[in-house]
Amino acid sequence: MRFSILLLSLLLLPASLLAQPADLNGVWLRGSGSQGYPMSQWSAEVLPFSTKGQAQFDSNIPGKGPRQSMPAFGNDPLGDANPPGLYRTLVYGRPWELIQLDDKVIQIFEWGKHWRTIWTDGRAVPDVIVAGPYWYGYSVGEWEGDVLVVKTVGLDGRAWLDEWGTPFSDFALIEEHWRRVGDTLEMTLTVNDPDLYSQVWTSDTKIYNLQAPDSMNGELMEQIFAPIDEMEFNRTIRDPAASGPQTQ
Amino acid sequence: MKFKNISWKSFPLAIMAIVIMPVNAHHGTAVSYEQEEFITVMGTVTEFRWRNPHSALFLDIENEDGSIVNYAIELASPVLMSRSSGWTRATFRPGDLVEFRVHPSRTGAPVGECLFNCEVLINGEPPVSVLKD
Repeated sequence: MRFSILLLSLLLLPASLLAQPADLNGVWLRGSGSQGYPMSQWSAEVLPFSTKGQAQFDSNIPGKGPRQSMPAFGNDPLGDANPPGLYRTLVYGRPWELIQLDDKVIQIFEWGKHWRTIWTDGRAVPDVIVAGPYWYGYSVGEWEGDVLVVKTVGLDGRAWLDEWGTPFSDFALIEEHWRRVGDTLEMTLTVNDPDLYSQVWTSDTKIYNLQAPDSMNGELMEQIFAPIDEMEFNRTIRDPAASGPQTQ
Repeated sequence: MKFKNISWKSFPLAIMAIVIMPVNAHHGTAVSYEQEEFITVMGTVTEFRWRNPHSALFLDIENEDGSIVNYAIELASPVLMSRSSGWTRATFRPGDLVEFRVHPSRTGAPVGECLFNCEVLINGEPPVSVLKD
């Protein structure tokens, strides 16, 4: 009887009280690709766009993926040296570092030299991000067993979810599930964005590999997109590359 | 110095007269180049830009008629090139004679691209790498 009560009590405990945080520290690099995916680097499935979402997707003209066009004729926000934003960075093949502290996890991105904080101090996801929206959102994390569940709001919908022009809105709530398996991290996204999608959808699992400190990608470097460089590059390389055989 | 396979020079004049005005430009540039095709360009370095997120090399190339065209080569970022090839900002210097295999522009413009595994000779020698063995 007493054993049954104990077992029942354990079953009723919130997942957070059974949390066994994994060690996420280290430099990580995406190891899995998106070859053959129909529209988004995040999913092998056709995404459930709303009418508005489909129109937004159609108006995003990327330089990569199944709908790619010459960069000179697209409208990728990066073309003017805007920040990639959080999720585009997570699906791009550049290393980033996790620093795990008692009350937060800091994620430092080499690509663009940005960072985000995932608060793990028990705070709730805020209803309003007063100073937002943010290119990298506002993230709150909670351990469910050995899985870090991260909820992000306050995102700036001018960014793209990936390099292929997948849209999201300022009103999206995106949930990440991070799980360490040996020297890899597995992560899935669940996108709740009724403004642009007719239903909640979940990405496929992305894999990130731990980089040894003395390996090629084991130490982050600076890779800032400076408008002064981007404008010069556009003027002397990318626009001429699309403009025909006249001499420069 | 001459082009080998000067694809952009073979365009008819009527096509050469068309000037398309790009409205914008951005990352993801591979689609601007013939990814299944290579040409080797040979010329004299006029400028080497070692900058994020894309570096660039500019060569003066002499055409068959003796005219000079400045050819631009899109390269990867210093982060990637230093990691993968051991190149530095001093790898190319103005006046160097360079032979560079690139993907040519799809439009025939005097612009090419090499982001990975570049085959290049500088004054007849492979580039010096600072990577440790």
